[in-house]
Amino acid sequence: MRKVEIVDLNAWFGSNHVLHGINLTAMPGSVTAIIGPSGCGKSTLIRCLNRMHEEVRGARVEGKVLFDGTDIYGDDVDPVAVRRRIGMVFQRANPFPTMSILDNATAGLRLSGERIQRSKLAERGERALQAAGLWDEVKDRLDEPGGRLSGGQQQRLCIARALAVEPEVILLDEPASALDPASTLRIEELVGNLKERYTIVIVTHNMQQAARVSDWTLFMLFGEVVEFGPTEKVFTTPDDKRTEDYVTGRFG
Amino acid sequence: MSATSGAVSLGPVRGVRHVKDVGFTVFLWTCAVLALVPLTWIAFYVVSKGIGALSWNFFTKEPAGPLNPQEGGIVQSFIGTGLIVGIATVIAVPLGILAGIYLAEYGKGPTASAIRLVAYVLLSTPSIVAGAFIWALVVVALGNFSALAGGLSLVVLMWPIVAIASEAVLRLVPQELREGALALGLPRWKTILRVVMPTAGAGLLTAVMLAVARALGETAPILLTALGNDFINTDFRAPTDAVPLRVYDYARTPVEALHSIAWGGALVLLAAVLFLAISARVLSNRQQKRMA
Amino acid sequence: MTETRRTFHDELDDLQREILQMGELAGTAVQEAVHAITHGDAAQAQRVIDMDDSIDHRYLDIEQRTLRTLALQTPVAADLRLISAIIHSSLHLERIGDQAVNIAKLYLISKDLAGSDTMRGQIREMGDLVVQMLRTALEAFAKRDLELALRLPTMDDPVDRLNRATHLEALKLADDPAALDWGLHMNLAARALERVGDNAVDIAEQVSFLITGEFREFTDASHEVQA
Repeated sequence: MRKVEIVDLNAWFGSNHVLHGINLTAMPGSVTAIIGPSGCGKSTLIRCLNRMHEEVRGARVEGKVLFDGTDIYGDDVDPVAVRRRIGMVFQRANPFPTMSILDNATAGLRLSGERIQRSKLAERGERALQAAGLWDEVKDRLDEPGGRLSGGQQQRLCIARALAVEPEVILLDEPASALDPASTLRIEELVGNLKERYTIVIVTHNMQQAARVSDWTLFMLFGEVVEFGPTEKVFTTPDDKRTEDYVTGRFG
Repeated sequence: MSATSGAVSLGPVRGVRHVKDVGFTVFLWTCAVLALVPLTWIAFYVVSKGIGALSWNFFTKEPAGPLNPQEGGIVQSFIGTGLIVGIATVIAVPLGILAGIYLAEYGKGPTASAIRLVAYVLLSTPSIVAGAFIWALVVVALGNFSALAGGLSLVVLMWPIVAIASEAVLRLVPQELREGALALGLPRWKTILRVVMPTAGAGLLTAVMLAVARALGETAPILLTALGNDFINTDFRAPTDAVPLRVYDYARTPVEALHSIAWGGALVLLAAVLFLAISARVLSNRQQKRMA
Repeated sequence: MTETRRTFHDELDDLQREILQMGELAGTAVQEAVHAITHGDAAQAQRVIDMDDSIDHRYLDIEQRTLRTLALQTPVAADLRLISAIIHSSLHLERIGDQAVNIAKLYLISKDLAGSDTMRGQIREMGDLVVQMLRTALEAFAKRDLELALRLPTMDDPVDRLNRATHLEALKLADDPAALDWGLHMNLAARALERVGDNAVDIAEQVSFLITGEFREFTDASHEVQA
């Protein structure tokens, strides 16, 4: 039972054709890493998975992205609804500066239009912060502004914010590339813990990170899939020479 | 400067270069001081001339009869300015902010360019032209001068400031915040209302304060639209007084006592505008720190 | 500071457990092969031969898992030395397993021939010594005990002496062709035991590298053995 399936996906920025015929499958409870050199289209690809790509003026998508069997690009599908079930964490942590730590964590719930009691909100906020591995560090200062945390903590706050709306898939767009090595490893540890309950797709330019963290790896070049397979295979005996050259550092 | 040895001297700056350094620094300081002179001179002058007129009567009484002009006040001007600028603010600010939001968040097509053009043109429109325009449109149609017409003429001048300044502030809100909100499953309008605008918060307030500061001092458009009044008026359909108008009127009379009151009015205006401008600056600094 | 990369470190711990278990199996195999000779137990010898499969399976499993760990986790420092020590040691243990099989086979070939009790005694002594050497090397690995590891070369000396002694003992059987036949086979068995001892010393070398970061050869075929 596939959680996410991409079928023949093409994407454009205006007349610039950036993704060519992408096919990809992600099973539930797995971590899929997307790797490739700069400009290969990995960020564009992940943004097509929660319909963020089309937020850019002139951007366009063709093809299917099936989520639990339903095409998220179908005519009667609301992108806003898609994004509540497929969450995203960005490269640079972007906590809302006018909100406190707890308010940041519960922002998706509070602003959803659903009426939720304050006590329930606090409970869900706490759970999300715990799942993001941040609770112990902030439990005594939930009212402080989100911007006062360190970089790694802010990123975990953004992860908590994404988790609080209880999505089924989490997309991570180079979540650790702006962080120091220790924070990076913490985020990787977190991904390992989260994959029990979520399906995770992570874009990374750090190959070792992809190797450490993922079950499946997709290697992209110039907007096309070169190789998609179990991570162990991609890093020990890849099928395609281009993959081999990339992971051994001969180019990229 | 070192001679033939080729070794670079690491000592202090000396000689001709030092003189040039000092000379240029002195020159720059002199320019700065000179630039400050007019402002400080005006301020001191107005304060010295106007401080004497400030009194209880000044703030609470209407103009007195010709026999004892110094006993009167200009309370109707303060109330009138409040009414006129209030009407203008209530109309210009929401329209201006909405325009700012449109330009910042949706603003790439021909409509946006048109709106932006209108705003920039209105920004440099002479205020008397604004007054004449509203006179033709509103005063003639209603048949009389009014606070409403006065307010509307100020809207013409305030709206572009609010629109352009809010667009600028909203553009400064990092795109990543919008993306973060959208990715959470918030619709665009909620993203703007609950995330972008609060973040720009102080900046938007600054835009409003700058527009109000401009409006407070306008005389020409008020002349053509609100006409002025010696008595307190709270009916927006009737002629109303305003502080700058009153200052203009009194300055033209030969009565010495009224001159003194005019200086008082000028002082109050100057103080209000300075207060708004300085507060706007302080808020803007804090806003910048928050977004950094 | 919380521990990160826990899954990776758990895997390392697991691999270490596996290598120690493999060592136990190899040591038992040698012990039982020698016991088959000294007590004339053909069934036991056959069991040793059958048991080698499980040693080989572990060898392949360790090979695959260490390769996977190197590719996916890029270990460094002590973790890297541990992986290296595990890879080398698993090879030595697999060899020890093969030697045990050789000894068992040599017994089965020659079991019906009359033999020399003296030689059987020498072989038993060699067996005890090399199994002890293996166990010491494995203990040094488990406890990261450099002092224990450094004992191995000295423990090897009596093994070498006994090996030469069996050679001389076999010569004494020259009068009886059947006995000589048996003696020559047993001599080969002794040589297999001596190899087991060398492999145990190699494992101790790996332990020393793991602990100190320096690779030193303890014994070398080209250098003289102390008498």
